[in-house]
Amino acid sequence: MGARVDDAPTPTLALAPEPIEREVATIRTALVCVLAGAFVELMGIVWFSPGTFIAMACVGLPLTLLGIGIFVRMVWRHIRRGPM
Amino acid sequence: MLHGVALTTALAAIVVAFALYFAAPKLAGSVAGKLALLLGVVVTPGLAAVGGTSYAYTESSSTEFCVSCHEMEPHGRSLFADDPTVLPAVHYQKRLVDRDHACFACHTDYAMFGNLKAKANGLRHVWVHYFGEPEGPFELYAPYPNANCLHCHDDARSYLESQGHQGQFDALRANELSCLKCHASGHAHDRLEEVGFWAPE
Repeated sequence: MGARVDDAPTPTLALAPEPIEREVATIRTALVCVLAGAFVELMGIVWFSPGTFIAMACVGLPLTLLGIGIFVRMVWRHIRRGPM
Repeated sequence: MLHGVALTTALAAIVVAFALYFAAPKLAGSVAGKLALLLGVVVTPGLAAVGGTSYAYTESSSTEFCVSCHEMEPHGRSLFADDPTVLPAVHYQKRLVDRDHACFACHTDYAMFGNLKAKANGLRHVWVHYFGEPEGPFELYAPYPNANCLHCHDDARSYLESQGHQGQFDALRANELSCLKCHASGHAHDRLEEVGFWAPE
């Protein structure tokens, strides 16, 4: 006996592919983070002082890493779920 | 060199991220575009972060950086004390340490994570300078370790042949007898005006 249609595995919501618009929005969020982070890093490099040193360490670097993290997470989810 | 590299990578990250922000909808649909996004969101900013961090790591070791906060002004002035018993002044004036990294040379543990520990402490000091209430007198976090002195002096002829050191080498190496027991001048803040200052021509 062949398998019935009802027996086919139902895709769960967790595995549903993300719409491209949502991916673009995530990419843009990541880009804004790395843009802001790189800008703070640039300011610190041009005008290095104790103030910019702490800005680089506490704002610039975390923002850059956050942007990279958002993008990597999106790619990871994309690989798991598959493209739209 | 490092300044140039850090500056270039940060600028490149900004330009690329800015361009990709507007091109993202088109790029997200193709494999080549996704690779470009990977370059713009991960590789270039990653390089910029490494460049900026390396630059800040290097620059924050400079004497100029350490004494740029007003709390450290007396420590900076002590480097010019006109007194041969004031150790920081002797090291600085006789060029026993690199003058551009005079503070870092003596206030960094030469252990595996000594530099990182010094940077973490420095970051905390800057944080307190801007967002806290620095309260003097400032003290070391732990008794000054002999290893920091012996890093340079251990095999120096003047150290080995000094009469006062004879028979004490093992105790000094084991940190059982502090170098500062005999060389305890510190930065001599309380008598700086009294001893005067060396003014190089």
